[in-house]
Parts: sequence; C-alpha cells; structure tokens
Amino acid sequence: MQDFLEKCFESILQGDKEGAVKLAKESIELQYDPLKVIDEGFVKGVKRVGELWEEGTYFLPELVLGAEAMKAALSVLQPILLKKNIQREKTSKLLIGTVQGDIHDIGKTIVATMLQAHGFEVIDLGVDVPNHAFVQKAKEQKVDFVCMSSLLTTTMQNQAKVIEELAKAKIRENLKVMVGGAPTSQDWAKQIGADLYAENAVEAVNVAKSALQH
Amino acid sequence: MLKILKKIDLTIDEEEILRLLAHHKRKEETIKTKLLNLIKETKALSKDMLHPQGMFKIVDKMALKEGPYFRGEDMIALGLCTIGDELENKVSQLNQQGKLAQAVMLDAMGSVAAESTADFLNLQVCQWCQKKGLGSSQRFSPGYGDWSLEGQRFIFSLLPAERIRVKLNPSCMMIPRKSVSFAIKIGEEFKSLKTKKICETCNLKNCPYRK
Repeated sequence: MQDFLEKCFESILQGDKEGAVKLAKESIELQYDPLKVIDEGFVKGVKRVGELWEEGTYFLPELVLGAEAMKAALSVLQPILLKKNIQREKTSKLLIGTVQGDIHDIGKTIVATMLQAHGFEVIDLGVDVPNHAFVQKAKEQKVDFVCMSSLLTTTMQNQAKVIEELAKAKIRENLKVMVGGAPTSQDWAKQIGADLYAENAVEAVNVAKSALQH
Repeated sequence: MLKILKKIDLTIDEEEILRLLAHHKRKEETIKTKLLNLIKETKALSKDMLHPQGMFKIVDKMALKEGPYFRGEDMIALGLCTIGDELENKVSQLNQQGKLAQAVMLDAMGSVAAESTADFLNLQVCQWCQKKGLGSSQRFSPGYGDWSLEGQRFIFSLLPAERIRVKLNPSCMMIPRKSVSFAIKIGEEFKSLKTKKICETCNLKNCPYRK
C-alpha cells in the first residue's frame, strides 16, 4: 500500500487532477482505508505543495493545480467516508467573500480553493458582498469562520462594519473572523477586532487550522 | 494638451509574469515544463483579448489649484490606460469552469499587459517633456505611497475617461480592472533627477510584489 500512497502524494505534487481522481477511484476498488488514502497520501501531498510554495520553489499556478487535484480526489473519497460514517480530523464550515464595493475575485478564490483542499466546507459569497449578506448567511448556515477579503483602502472599513453587525446579531462569539487582502495587516485585524489575519492562501489554511485547535 | 492613443503595441514580458506569480522568497531554480507550457498556452489564449488604449493630458497649475495633492506643482501629466474587459471576462469564465490555475495565469498576464501599456504612455510623456526641454518624475498612482486611492477622483475629473471606456466605481476602483491611472510631475528640477525604482518610493514595505 505504501507505493499506492506514494502515487497519491505524487499526483498532488504534480497538480495532476485526472491522475488524482483515477487513484481515488482505484483505492475504492481495492478497498483501501479511505482515511489512510486521504491523510497519508493526498493530504501529505497538498501540505508539501504548500511548503514548496512558501519556500519559493513553486509558483502560484502550481499551488493552485495541487489544490485543485486535492479537491477532485476528495470529491471522490468524501462520499465513501460519509457512507461508512468515518470522521476525519475536525474541520469546519467557513464563509468567504470580498467585501462590498470591491470586485477583486481571484485572490479570494485561491484562498477558498486551498481551504476546500484542506477539507473545510466553504461557502463562497463571491465579490462585492453587502455587509448584511455576510451576517445573514453566517447566521443561517451556523458557520465557524467568516473570512473577508478587501484589496482597497476605500473598502477595508467594511470588514470592521461586518464585525460590528455580527456582534449586533449576537453571533460574533460563535465564530472566528479572518481578514486578508493587500492593504490589511495583523495590526489592522487587531484594530477592528478580527480574530485572525492571513497574508496568503497557505497562511489562511494554517491559521484556520490552528484556530480549530484552540 | 490631451493625447488619446487607440493603438498601442504591447510586449508581454514572461519574466514579469513569473515575478507576479512567485512567492517573495522565490528560488532561482529551473522553471518546470508544465508551468512553461501553461504560460505558452495562456499567452496564445490572451492574444486577441488585449485591447490596449490610453490617454495622457498635460495639466498646468491653474487646474492643479483644485487638487489637494499637487498644489505646489507647476505642471503635471495625468495618464490613464486599459487593456479592456475581454481578458478579465475570460478570467471569470475560466474560474467558473474550475480552471483556476489558468485563470490565475491569465490574470497575471493582464496585469503585466496593463503595466506595459502604462510604460508606453509614460514614454510618450517623457518624449513630450524632452522636446520642451523639461524633465519628468517617475509615475505614481493613487493608492500607492502617500497618495490615497481617492486621488482617482481627481484624475477622472480631468481626463475624458469615457473615451477609452474606463470608469470608477464608488470605491474608486477602476473598471475594467486591468486599467492603470497615474501622474507624472513635470519641471526643470526633474531634468537632473536620478530615477529611483518605483517600489523604493512606496510605503507598503511588506508588499509581496515589491521589486
């Protein structure tokens, strides 16, 4: 089985979506433990892809290809886990969007894809999301995280407004708020009362995972 | 003096695309064939989607009285350019089709193309200055350094942006997104100015794209 897990790892490293799906299907036919295939094969691969990007070896499209391959493999294996009633490590439901007045899309989508690749259930509200829509959806879906992106100095204030509205709706204590985007920073996050700040997609996964452990 | 340029020849620098797509700790290693193929494929895809056009206007101190940022200047050039919206529509489409890696690549290509269009306009301004025996500063844009993004409203109040189909949204974001606006200071004092790298003048020290 070690060789098989190695192939799963390699498919993610190569960003080979078709290969990863094929291996996921093969693992079902071979009746391998799906949890082992995910955690010791595919997840190991997506973690390594993140490291390779962070250390400056991989370029952004390579990081994305790895995450896309991971997502595709998970989509094959997750129904099997559900069917067998097997629980993976604790992950959560996460709401993400670009704040009102800002239509930057691609950075937010990369973050969403990376989080999905790491097993988070992601609800992507898109761009130019009204403040009340974040609050309404967070309430409706009982999410664990609200993640907001803002690429403009003129719109970053909306991150603060959403936090205020979450408090008014009495759900602020039930969830973590993560902010990101070029003009934001750790200091900004602290200033507006956000729990988490991430500079990039890999960091977003790391801080979300670490928040789950606390 | 207003000049509108509807036809601009672009060169897309692949190294610049890679710079935008690399982590700031980029290692100088061989680029993998798969990535090079993706660049090639995306470059071919973008070929007919780039519609660069732009304008620049020389503005004297009478007009500048109204703008808080340039009160002390005698003359500046204001520039605005775009590559149009076809490329960014394709980026959205690729994104929706789940082809995020190619969308990311195409988006970076669009950014490089827009900057390259701005470089072309910048050169036109420098040539105009040279003819007049004047010097020019490097270009700078609202939202960078200590010029706030609201400075866009000043530029758009003095340029006929609609003639190249660029508009501002209420948050001062340009639409199409792949557009660049800028100002260049003009005067005798800039003739002997040693040009700094554009990033050296910006306060965003931790910017991942800092050159």
